[in-house]
Amino acid sequence: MRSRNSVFCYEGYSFVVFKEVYKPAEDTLLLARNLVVRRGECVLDMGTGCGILAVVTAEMAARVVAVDINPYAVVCTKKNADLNGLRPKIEVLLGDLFSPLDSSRKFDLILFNSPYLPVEEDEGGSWIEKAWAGGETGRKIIDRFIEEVPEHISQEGRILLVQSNLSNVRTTLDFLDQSKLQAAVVDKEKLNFEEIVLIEAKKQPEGACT
Amino acid sequence: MKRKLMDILACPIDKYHPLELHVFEEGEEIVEGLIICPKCLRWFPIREEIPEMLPDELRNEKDELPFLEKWRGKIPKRILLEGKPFRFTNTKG
Repeated sequence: MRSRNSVFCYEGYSFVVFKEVYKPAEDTLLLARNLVVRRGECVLDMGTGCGILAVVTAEMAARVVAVDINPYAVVCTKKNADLNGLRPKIEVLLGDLFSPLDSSRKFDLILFNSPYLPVEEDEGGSWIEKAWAGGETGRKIIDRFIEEVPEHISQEGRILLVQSNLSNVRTTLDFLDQSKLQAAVVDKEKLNFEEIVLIEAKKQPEGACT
Repeated sequence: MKRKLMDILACPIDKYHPLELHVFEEGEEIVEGLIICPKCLRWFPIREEIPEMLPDELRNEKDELPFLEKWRGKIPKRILLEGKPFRFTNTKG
């Protein structure tokens, strides 16, 4: 864990990042630079961390719901929403993935910079580890996300998901397909020890043959 | 927390919706309050304007019981006595 809070700037926005919260990195920016938000859309930022994607999308969106399981992250997000003058549009919620959300309310855009690193189970209990730890295969949280996301996305909605080749991109694409979502890799970036990919998924058109 | 968030909140344990909202302190947003699942009697605090809807295994009795104590007079009796995952009878016999 970093010993001090830090500051991160992106596209004219400024963010305080508490030391207990994941600091925006290449995976965050891969998602950020591919964001397209249409005016009036409802956005769900899952695993919001310091709230950077929630803030960036709030400018255009009608409503952004920012969820994180880390109690420090949600306080950090609230602070950053205030700092950037976007608090009226951002609703912060402490919770575990979709579990506190009712499926009757659909989102137009769902963002998820997933925890994808393979780790030994029960490696530790710190809150910040939940930002990257994906269980033994790295897929524990991604798989839960894919299982539940179809219930929460609108018919025309888009899902943007970041993961790494360390936790099997093919499996994600297959699993999304099984969940009746059309998915493709839309951007990628090579880092030292891994390649991170951005996957976009949409509902298959109603009545389509698969 | 904005009141309209209640439109999309469900109980993380049994997915019941709509949940009950009790507001204790409100400015531009709800600063402190309680969200209750009427089906399973689980309660979730709203503190520092943030609703805390974690699953039981990530909650901490020592951290949360003082919240029930603080607002005891405004919390329905059935939550004080039968609420989940924590209630007074657990610790005070």
